[in-house]
Amino acid sequence: MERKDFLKNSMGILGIGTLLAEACKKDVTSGTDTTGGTDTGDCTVTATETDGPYPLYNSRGSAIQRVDITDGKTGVPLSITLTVRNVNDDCNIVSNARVDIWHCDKDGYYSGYSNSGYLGTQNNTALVFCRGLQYTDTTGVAKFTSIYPGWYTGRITHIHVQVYVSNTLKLTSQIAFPAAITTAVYNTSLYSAHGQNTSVSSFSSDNVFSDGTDTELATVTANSSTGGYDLTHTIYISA
Amino acid sequence: MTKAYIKLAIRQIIDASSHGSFEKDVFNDTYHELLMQAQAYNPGNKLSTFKDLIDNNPKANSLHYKVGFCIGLYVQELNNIVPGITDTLNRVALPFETAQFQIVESSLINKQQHKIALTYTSGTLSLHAVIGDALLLSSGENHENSEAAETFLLQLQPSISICSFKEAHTITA
Repeated sequence: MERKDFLKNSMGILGIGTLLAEACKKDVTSGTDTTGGTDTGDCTVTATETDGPYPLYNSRGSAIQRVDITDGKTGVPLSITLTVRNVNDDCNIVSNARVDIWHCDKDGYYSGYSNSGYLGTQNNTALVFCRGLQYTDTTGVAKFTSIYPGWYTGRITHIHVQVYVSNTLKLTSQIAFPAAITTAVYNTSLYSAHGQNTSVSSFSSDNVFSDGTDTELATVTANSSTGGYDLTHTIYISA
Repeated sequence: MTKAYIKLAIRQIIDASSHGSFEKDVFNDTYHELLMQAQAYNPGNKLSTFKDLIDNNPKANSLHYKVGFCIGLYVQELNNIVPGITDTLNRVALPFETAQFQIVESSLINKQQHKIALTYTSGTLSLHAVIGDALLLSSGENHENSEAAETFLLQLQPSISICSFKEAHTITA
């Protein structure tokens, strides 16, 4: 095999994909798509949402078990802090829960797929930007560093999230952003080319969040040191 | 002379009988990930095979790529070399540009029935001749009038197919 490098080649990629961006619609056939949450004592289970067509899962062989999921993508910095709590345990934190998140880049494109958007079709099958996996620490927290998501036709700004405990899927949901902050971000230079989301301008017209964002709306505050924002959100699971 | 420019597709089947660390990692991790991913499409845990999942909910067909992503690092570690395929002298390894994962069949209750496939697609190769059941190839696009190309023979086998073909044009000076 001394001539293994005999032939020059480009980067190998993994994946299939020409799923276009009819992304993340509610899927009533999935059986995982109820909303509104369940009251159990002092806290309420975060509403379940569809995982959309853009999940990307992980194992030992995953390249995305990491805190910084930016992968060189430009955008307004976003520090994400997610806390997992259990409604069946007095709302106490859940440590060692696997938290998967994924979202689109500032232009509305997902990694892992070939998808179409306002810049045309991008084949991102070999890329894993804006996807991450972390296990919650002893305080029930999983952190990620990323960029503020952009938007694509048909959906309002969101992050997908999935929580596993002991290899059991406990929740598939989505995280919503405060509208005023999204508007401000989309006015900044990096996002202004795409501009405001004219396809879905409010939660009420979004096909995932139209039934409410009570358990899904994150707290987002400006971070003067990064010039971006800090997102904090508590995810309540029934474990 | 160069007859054509081609790309090869090589399909590697991995199942419980496969040897090698890459194959075992892919087998074990994709099965583990399938068990996790399948939960979203298996309400009540009543279904037991991959086919059952798809029959019950066509969206479960997405498990091909959802599960496949979990072996991204393993595929990267191949350094773009198709495992187990060399030229007839066992001297030249065959590079690939893309690798596509597929679940052939699986059972959620019997790991022994887990079978997956990786289809590797090569970059462009120049096909100079077909000698017996072997292809005489060189890397890239080598025109017939260029200097002697460094070639290798690749034996055809059921797991190898030609997935792209472009006839080489004769250059007349």
